[in-house]
Amino acid sequence: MSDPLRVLVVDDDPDMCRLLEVNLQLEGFDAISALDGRGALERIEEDRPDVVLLDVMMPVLDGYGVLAAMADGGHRPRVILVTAKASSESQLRGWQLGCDDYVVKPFDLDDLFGRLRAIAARSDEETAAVRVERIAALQAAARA
Amino acid sequence: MAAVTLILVLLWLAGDLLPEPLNLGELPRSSVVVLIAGLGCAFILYVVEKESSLRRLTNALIEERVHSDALTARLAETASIAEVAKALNDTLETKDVFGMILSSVLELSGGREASIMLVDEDRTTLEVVSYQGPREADVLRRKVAMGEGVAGRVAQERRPMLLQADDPLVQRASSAPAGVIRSSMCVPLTRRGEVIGVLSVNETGDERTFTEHDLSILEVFAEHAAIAIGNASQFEQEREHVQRLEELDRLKSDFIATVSHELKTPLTAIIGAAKTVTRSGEMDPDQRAMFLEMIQRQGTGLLRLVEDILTTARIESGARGRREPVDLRDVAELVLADMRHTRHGRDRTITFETLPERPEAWGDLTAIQQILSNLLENACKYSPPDTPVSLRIIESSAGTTIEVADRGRGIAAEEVDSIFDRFRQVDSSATRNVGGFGLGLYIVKSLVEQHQGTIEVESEAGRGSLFRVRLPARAGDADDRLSAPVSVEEGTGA
Repeated sequence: MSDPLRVLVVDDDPDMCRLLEVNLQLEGFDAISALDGRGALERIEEDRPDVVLLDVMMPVLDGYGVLAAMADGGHRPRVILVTAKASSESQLRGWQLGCDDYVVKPFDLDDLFGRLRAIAARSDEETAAVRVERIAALQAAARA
Repeated sequence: MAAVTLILVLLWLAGDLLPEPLNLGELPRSSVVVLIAGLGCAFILYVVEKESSLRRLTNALIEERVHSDALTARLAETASIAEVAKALNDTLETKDVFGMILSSVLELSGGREASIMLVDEDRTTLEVVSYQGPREADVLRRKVAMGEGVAGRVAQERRPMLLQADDPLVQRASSAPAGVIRSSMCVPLTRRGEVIGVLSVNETGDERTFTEHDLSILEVFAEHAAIAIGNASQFEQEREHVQRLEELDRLKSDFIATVSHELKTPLTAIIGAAKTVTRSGEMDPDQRAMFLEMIQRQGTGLLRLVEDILTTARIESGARGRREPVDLRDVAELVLADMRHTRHGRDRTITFETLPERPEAWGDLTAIQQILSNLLENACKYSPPDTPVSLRIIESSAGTTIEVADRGRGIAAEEVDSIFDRFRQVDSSATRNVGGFGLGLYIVKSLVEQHQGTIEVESEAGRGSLFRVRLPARAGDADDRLSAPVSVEEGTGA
């Protein structure tokens, strides 16, 4: 059996971090956490997670900032934005900055873990194709 | 006509004198002389008559010509007034309307400078809102009281005035750098029976002086001008109204977006924690306790958000609190205990001192509790978790002072004025993300003002902030309700 997936939880609310960490561990993942964007970038470089569950509204450096910084190189885990920002502009911005999925709070834990596993199983080509498709769909919706 | 009759009479007379058959050769000499003399007289009379009627005709023609010149001039005036009136009706920008009125007035009257003054809302003063002429800068915004000076009198007495250089009113106004006013006209601008302002024209050159005729033209013109100004200002009001509504709509949308975000986050934690506890049968007791505390903490946070919204709604509906002695030590201890359960307040050192031991305030218990709670929560939210926050309460004969200090990021000088605005958070990307509705300080300020108190903030960016609330001591009157915050001070200022 392969090593468990390592998941980094990033949220400025310590309760959200604890909640996700505990549940991820119960599901058999290896979970770590960070309370702001800068901490997230440090954990990504040092602990090299496979997937990041990334909040958007955070002090110091927000989720978009983390995505933008990740584009500059270094370790590149898959990223699921987990945020209360539900507008299609926010979603489009997230996809354009390179997220691999977008989950709006409040979310269902089982649904979130299902998405997490699906994304971890995809190839780079598949995630890129999904991203292109989502951006096109959101842009089409914005024009309509 | 008279000449012809005379000739016929003469011929008849001559005919009577002549024997039949007519024979000139046989006529007596005297008769011929009479006949010739008669014919001569008739001719002279005819010429005289003709000449006088010619003169009458010439006079009539000259008169006609003068009349027609005046008519042409009138027509030209009417046409230009009509033209301007049409152009004015097509213009809705107040500034354009003013400009068009003034340049038309100067063209019509041949004056050197012209101005529009409008009556202010409480109808006590007139203010120059537009001016064309050689002294732009010092005329605009100049004010005059109703009833004073030429403009003030025209507006109050609702009658036009035509003044020449020797009038004392004109001499007083002539100190202006534009030169000595030689002639001046001022007419009221009337809309729906009410004077909205005055229109003035001055002639400063030597070329001419204004006449009653010029004044009557200006009056006609002023009627059109007043309508145009009225339409434009009505349009402007409508536009401002629409802008206010749009701003409100935007605030409302922002508010709904913020509310849904702020409510969703704790709800996500509550639902997730409850679900985790429910389905994990084998969870260890410590972890279970941790999740139950999480539910309590997030639920309390939610409640505070809802309370903020309700308090704001109450403040805005004008509801007033009770007035009673409030034990500040009791209130503060209650608030401090609650702070331990909040996200930013737990694990935080909050120092607390009072002078005397149990200071009192005069006011509404719930309101004072909320003032303390919001100030402390704010201090914790905007300062690093490892820095202390302090609360000091001092009661003196003048009243009670509450000070909340933190060692956080502070507030930049240019932001200090706006932090008490509704829905406002210090608007940098770093703090826009701390969460909350931006209602906390707005609520504090409103509640403090309901107590006739004051709030001030001392802050330096990067060094922390100190919020100081002063609540006045119990007032002498027997009224047991708090009065409205604004009216008292405004009333004494007048």
